[in-house]
Amino acid sequence: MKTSIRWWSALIICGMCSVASAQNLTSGTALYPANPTSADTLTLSLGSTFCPGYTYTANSYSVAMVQNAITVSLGRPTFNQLSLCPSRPQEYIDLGRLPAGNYTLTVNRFAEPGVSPAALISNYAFSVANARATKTSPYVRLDYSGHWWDPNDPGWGLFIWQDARGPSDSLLAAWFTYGADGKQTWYTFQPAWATDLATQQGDMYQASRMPGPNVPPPNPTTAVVAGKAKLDFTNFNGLFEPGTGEVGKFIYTVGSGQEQTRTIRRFKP
Amino acid sequence: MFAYFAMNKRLNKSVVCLALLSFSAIAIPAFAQNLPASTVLVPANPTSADAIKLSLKDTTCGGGYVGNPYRVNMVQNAITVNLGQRVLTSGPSICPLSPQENIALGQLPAGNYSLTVNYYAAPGTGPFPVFTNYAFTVIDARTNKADKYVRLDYSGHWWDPNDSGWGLFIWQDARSPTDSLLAAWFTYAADGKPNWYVFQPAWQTSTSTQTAPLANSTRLPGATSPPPTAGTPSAVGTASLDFTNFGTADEGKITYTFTGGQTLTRTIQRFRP
Repeated sequence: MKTSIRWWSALIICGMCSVASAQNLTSGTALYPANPTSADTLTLSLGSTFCPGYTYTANSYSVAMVQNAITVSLGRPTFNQLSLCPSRPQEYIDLGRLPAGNYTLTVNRFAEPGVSPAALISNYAFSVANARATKTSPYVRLDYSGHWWDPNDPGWGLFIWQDARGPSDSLLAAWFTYGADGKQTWYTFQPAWATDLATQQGDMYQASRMPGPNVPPPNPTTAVVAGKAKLDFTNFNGLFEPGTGEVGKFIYTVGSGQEQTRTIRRFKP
Repeated sequence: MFAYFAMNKRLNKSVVCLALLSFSAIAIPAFAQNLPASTVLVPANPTSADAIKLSLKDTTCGGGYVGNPYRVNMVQNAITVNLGQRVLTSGPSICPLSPQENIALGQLPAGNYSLTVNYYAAPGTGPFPVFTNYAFTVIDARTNKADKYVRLDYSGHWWDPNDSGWGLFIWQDARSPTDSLLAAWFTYAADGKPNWYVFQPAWQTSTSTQTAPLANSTRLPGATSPPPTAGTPSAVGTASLDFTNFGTADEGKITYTFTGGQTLTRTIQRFRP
């Protein structure tokens, strides 16, 4: 065990001494997606260099950018006595969602204050394509994805998923609420955009599926039209009113009931 | 000859002035500007976990964009927004109260940035700036992270592509030190009817959560909207999330147990059409 620790320590020290000058990503390291657009969240998947038995003492990384050069500074690794590695030890790093442009990426190992960090990856060049170049009418401006609710009436919510990477910003919305019997139920709708801020009215579906002996159950899901719904972010400019921010409207009709309009806000605790 | 000399002198003066001006432009960096009235950056003090938006006063009310309303690119931490081509439309002559254009700038790493917004310029003309070199700073959201130092933001819609019909929405407060979670699971009850559950697990490691109560809620409708009846949550089991084998497919696991039932684990992937 002692020999093993010495061997790995030597490997780590050796790794820290050698300044990588290659402009390719190191083996086991990848940028996701490989060809990012300005609508993608970039993730760096970094082959762990500290296995076996090393973990981070505290913050595992920090990311900064100067003149389109991104620098990831890894945290301080410490030996944690574990002798087994996961089959594919990886560290994941969030690089953000960048505007179109050309960037470089450098990943530095941990260095004590005053000591120059050793580079694990140096000046890896990549480009971010402009996702807006492929947008089609009505040219939706923002990504409304996320959790929306009415802070004055908690207990229900609306999850919106928007394909901001796609030309038409297609939507999927799931509304979790209650039925006439007071029991929880949920509906989904996938409205197309009518303007850049408001959707058309789409069918709202309610799905059901009988359980089976297996997971997943072999029974098909049955969806029925349970109403109509649409979204409207025309007065989203609550952005302008400090503290109010990101307001929309959810307009729906369940069954043969009357149309209801609810004000929704992006969920922020 | 004299006239030629005089003209040349004037020309020389102009050249000298131009050269001095050029020199000034090189020697003195472009002045950082304030945002014009009714234009805001949201949030005003962004962190690296924030999706930054620019809300820009619509200066040509009554008009519409011919095509794509804006494009954004960045060179050397200088972000440039180029607005699209606008034409006057024959629409209503009254503007909305607060005509605005909202522009997505992205989620940026910590650093110092400048922002320039240009009006549309036909090829070979411009740029015609709305404002130039507005300086702002993005703070590193990871500096205030606490144990367990969660690496990524798992917010979004998750599903099992081999078993469509149910889903899991995850909301993660990546701006907070603890990356607190709220998960809503859209599935079916034993009677086959649609049902949803919520759970709010704390992180156990940097990639997996503790087991948390799985809550079911009921609320009787009332005569008004919203109904005055308060929701009644009740614990119906437990659930946890695990992103240890996140891999290239953005993969995770939900492990759940309904009270009295067996523990089941389902593989989930980030929803992508």
